[in-house]
Amino acid sequence: MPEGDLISFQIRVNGMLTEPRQVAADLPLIDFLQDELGLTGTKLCCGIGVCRACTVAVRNFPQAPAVPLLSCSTPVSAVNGQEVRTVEGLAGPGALSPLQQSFLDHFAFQCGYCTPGFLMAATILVERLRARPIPRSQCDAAIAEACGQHICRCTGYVRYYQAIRQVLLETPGLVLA
Amino acid sequence: MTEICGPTRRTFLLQTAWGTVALVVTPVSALTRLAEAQTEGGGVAGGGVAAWSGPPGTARYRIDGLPKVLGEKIYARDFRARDITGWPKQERMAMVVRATYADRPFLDLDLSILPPELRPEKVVDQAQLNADSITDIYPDTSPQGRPPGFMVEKGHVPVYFGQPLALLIFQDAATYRRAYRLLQFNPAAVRYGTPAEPPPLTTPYSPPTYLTRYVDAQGQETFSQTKDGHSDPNGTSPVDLQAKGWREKIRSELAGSGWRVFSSQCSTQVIDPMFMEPEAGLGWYDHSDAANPVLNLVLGTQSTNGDIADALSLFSSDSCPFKIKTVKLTSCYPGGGFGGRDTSPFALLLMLAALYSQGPVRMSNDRFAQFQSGLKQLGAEIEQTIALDAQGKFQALWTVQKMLAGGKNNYGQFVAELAGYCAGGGYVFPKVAVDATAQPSPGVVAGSMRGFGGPQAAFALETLLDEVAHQLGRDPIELRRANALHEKDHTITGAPLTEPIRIGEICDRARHNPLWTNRATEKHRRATRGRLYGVGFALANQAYGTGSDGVMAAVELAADGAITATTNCVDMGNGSATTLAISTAASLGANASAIRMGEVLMFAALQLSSSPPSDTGVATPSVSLPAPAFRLGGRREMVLRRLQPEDLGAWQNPRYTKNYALSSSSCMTAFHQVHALQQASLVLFRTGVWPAASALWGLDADRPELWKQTRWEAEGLVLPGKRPLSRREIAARLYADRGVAGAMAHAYFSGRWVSASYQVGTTRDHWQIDGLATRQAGAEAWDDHLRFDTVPPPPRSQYFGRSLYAPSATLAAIEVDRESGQVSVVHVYTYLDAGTVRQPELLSGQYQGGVAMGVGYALLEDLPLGRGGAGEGDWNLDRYHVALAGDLPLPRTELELLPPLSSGAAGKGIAEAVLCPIAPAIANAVADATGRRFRSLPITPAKVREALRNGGPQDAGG
Repeated sequence: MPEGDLISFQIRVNGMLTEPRQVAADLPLIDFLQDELGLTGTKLCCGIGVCRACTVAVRNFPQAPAVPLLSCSTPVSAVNGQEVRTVEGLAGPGALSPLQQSFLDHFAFQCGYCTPGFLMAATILVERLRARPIPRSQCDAAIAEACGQHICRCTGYVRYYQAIRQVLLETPGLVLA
Repeated sequence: MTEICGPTRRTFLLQTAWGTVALVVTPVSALTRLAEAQTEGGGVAGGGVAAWSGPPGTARYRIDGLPKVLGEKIYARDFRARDITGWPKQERMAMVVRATYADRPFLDLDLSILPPELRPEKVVDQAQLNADSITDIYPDTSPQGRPPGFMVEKGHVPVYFGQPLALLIFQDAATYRRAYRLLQFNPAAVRYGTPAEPPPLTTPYSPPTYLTRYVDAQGQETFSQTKDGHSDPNGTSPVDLQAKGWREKIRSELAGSGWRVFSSQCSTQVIDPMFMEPEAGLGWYDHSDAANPVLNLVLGTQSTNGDIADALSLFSSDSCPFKIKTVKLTSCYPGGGFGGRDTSPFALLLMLAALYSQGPVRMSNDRFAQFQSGLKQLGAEIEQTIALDAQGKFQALWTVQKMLAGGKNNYGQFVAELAGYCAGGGYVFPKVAVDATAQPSPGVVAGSMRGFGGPQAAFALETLLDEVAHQLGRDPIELRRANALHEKDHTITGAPLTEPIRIGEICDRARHNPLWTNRATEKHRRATRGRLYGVGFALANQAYGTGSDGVMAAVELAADGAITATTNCVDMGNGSATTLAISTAASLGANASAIRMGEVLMFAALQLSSSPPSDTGVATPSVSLPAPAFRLGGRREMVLRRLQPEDLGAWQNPRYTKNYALSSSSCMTAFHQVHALQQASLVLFRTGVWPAASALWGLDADRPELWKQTRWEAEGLVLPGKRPLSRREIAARLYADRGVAGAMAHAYFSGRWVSASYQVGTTRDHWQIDGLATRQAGAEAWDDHLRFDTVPPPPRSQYFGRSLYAPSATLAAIEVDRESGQVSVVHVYTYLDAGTVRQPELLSGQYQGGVAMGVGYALLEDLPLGRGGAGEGDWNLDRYHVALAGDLPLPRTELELLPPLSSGAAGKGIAEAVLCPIAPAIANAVADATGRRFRSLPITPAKVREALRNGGPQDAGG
């Protein structure tokens, strides 16, 4: 597809269906989220899919499991019609998600710029474990698999991992007794 | 409403050469609905408006935490023109085209590679700037013999890789995006001439640092910087000649005293701060009202005062066609800093883009551009010689530190200066010669990254000491212990140590750590499983502060008892906003419910001046001087400090301070900024809260000393025999009596806090501050109070270099894969004297981040400064590797804090102290494991493989 070709684009973001609109097919998803929707919680850091700060959760169809997607290096044409969840969609009415609260309680982050990416990766992990719980002994490996490629320059990761671990262990149904 | 930064817009009028300019600093919260505001009435956090706040003096979580987990707009990169009230919606985009060569003339851009519809609306080059009389505001930062300038003039050879060639302004984001793809990595976009290597750059950035110290056999110091002032052994002044003479004596003693003499050469690499948010911002030069042209900026900055000063400097020429009557700066949360935003050139380029754009313009680096243009940590080449007597006592240190800076100076000489001060580490050296210089190069600009010369110096010294210990058959920790600095010893500048230096205690603890005591057993055990294992130790006595530090804070009490704190510093993620918000509790019984960061203008009410130097370079402070709205932060203050002779008499001028403000630094929170806020809180208590409480209790006015018997408890302010008073009740009375509702303090530290007496109403007291203003309840204006009985810094303190230290030491255990050469860090255990810790989670988080950065420094990160490096524009995180979680021993990253020596002990700045020992400890561990010395960072698998392959004794130098 030649650069700049327009497509009719519509997705569901954080439960809301966007207005159909003509956008460049090769527009990175993060630019659509930020510039078209004003959702700047998803962060650009490397822009080439290495650091994972830009991670969002995507479902190919409504009942599909959410999978992490690198929004900096994914063109909108690859997610047309799908469901995207960003950091802005994590808190419910009147309550932070358990991961958001745990990140706060553990002082997990510092500058906070990589936090949305960690939150989305860990949220997808929680959803996955809800469907397929794992033995407690596999918790650390599961966290490493979900978040091990995410870059944080401030924290040394210790508190992120502690915060995620606590949610896995304290949320009923994620870890086998 | 709890605020990270209050929404108040304050306007300050500044007199400039071209008339009055209005300055407005707006905190980011004014642009967006803050998360905490949403919690009112039991919102998402379920904890009400101050959900972050714990019991007085503690936090449940970071004060800036909620917006960060909700993904709210708080970083400069988050904002678009349409987000800002009053701005036009259309937003242009700016792109900086940068030099990818520094050995051939830049001829021109070739934008014909863009189809017409993608071409920029405006191209700004150096010729345009020349025509508009916009000159480099830091002309003295170019290498000697190279021209100043924001950009490269056509026909000229770029001074450094990544130097701007032109600024392109595109009509909108879509055009920019498509054009950027065509221009990026495209060599056809820029035409260069025939390669013609410019003459080498030999003169270091000025001033170089030379330290010479000589203590004779009787322990008498005969020469030092503190005693004799700055000296240059290559110079001709009397003090220079003395330095030269003492160095000749040291040299002859090194040769003929029978000492054991050890030397090494080592090098450290250039690294990138790699803060996560690439620099970005918005600018709008709004000249729709010809009578009041406004420069609007949205920036994530380390220094709001520095940015404003830079903005004003741009317009300083009479012939500049751009006029300015107002500067409005919106200060956003930086997405990381590590020094890399400190006087970053990004802000200036954004300002230029704003001037030449027909409306609001956004400039946002991608990571390639950030690598290409962002400030780097200086590399180093260090030669050093250490001499010990027969008893193993250090006798002499001779070090030549060549710090590798880029092609535009950015604190390089002061990074070298601190590296020089750190050359002696935490040890007693009676005889010292240190040369520390920042060498210009055609490399990308390098500046003040975390550690500021400390990591480079620590690597050099601590790896050599390890080698010395092994060659002498001494335990490496014991050898350090035997030579450790103590209180009342002197540093290599000759500065007296007036506080306990607990290096000996740290060594004693480390020697009994099972990691150390079991290392041989563990090495053997792992060897049987085919793994090389080693444990290394390294120590640091990293200074915090710059040795001449001005800080300021204000605290205000609302009529309902709520407390607001204000500071000129910003929080780069290090937690200073939270730390400061909980620092009001000691005097006022509660955490601040709001903290305004990055506020500089209101402190003009203090009417302090550090006074610009006259032509002779001598400060001439005067009460009659117009009060400056703000002072330039950072580099210029540091240059002035070196130029000005000591004049303690100047302190008798009640408007004088030696240093007004520096840009924000993580290591200046716990001691410096907290002090200023605690002093302001104490003043507010003494002059506002206590009089109101006294009135409520019906106390006699002649018993003011009773305040010392009060304390804050859960029910409020308590005085034996009296009913407790809630802060709300006290505030109500204070406002009814129009008492003091706000206190603003400036404090200055050099060797000690400057202190002075003040009279506020009927209260007269002596506080550790050099400037004070108070605000009456209900009033807008602040009243400054002239100090008297000023106790200036100790004599000679400006030559101390540094006098505040946070000693630390690390034991690192590593494994080496024989086949791949891969080094894995398996355990890190650090000891730290942090003084009193206010919020342990923030401190340990700083430490854990320091370990990660230290591991990256030791093993992973490397960036050529010149050819092949980031300046060529093609570097990103696929080539530059920072530590991932898997590179770190997460469950085995331990920190042991020395217990504070007293309940009232101050906190210490530790952001750099926790970083400095990590890399040398790892290097020493690799030596322990392999029997090979690695004197060049990073220790890559290739270097290890090569060393193991070569086998044989000793060196595996870089």
